[in-house]
Amino acid sequence: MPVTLNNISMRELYHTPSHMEVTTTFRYLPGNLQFDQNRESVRFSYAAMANESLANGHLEMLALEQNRARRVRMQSLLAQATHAQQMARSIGSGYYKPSVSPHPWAPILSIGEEHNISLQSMFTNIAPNDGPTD
Amino acid sequence: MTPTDFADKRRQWAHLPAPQIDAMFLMEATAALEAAAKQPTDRQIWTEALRQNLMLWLNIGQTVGKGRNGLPRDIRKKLVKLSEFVKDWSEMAADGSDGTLMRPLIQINNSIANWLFR
Repeated sequence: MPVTLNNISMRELYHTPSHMEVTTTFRYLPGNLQFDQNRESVRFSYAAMANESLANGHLEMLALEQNRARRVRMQSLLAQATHAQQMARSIGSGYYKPSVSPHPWAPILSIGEEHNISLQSMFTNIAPNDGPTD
Repeated sequence: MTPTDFADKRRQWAHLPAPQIDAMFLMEATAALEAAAKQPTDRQIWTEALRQNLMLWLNIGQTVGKGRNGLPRDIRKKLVKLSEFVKDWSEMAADGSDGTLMRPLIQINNSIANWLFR
């Protein structure tokens, strides 16, 4: 049974010699793996795993990997934030003044029923960050 | 904010010039973001502020992106990009608890609201 973490195989994820041990362990415990890819996270059930400390080690490695991905995403967003703030300022300091618009003002906001529904679904899958931090 | 709330607000601000009505929505969202930034441990206030602001920005992106809006093309393009940024940032911030996470959203709202008042 191929073991994947958001389409990344365990072999690709772990570049240390111990990854062989990880894949071997998972290979013999296929029924104990639970994936929740919708939340871009992975949960493992180690109920049948004899070596609990080994299981904790694996979970820690996964948490570190997820935190690393979160940091990379954060750095990217921070760079975008600077650009976005400049862009917003550039609109405000530009030539176009809404109060003297040559056209009748078309509202930039027109909230409708269908939009409200799609928004509600956006936050449904976001849970508080209760995972370990490195 | 439900569509009914939205319509009520529009009526409440009907005496204002049209662009300023849009600005008022952004200013309300900004006030909620500022309140959340001051008490980041209150998850309900935090999430609701992000949700309210995101709702406005997703709507701005959809409305100006349709091409029927009378705004110049470059401004519409920028507003759509800002909408995309607000979505990405809000998803990340929803998981956080640092008040400074609200700053970019507040600054963007203030810039656009000030522009709408010009």
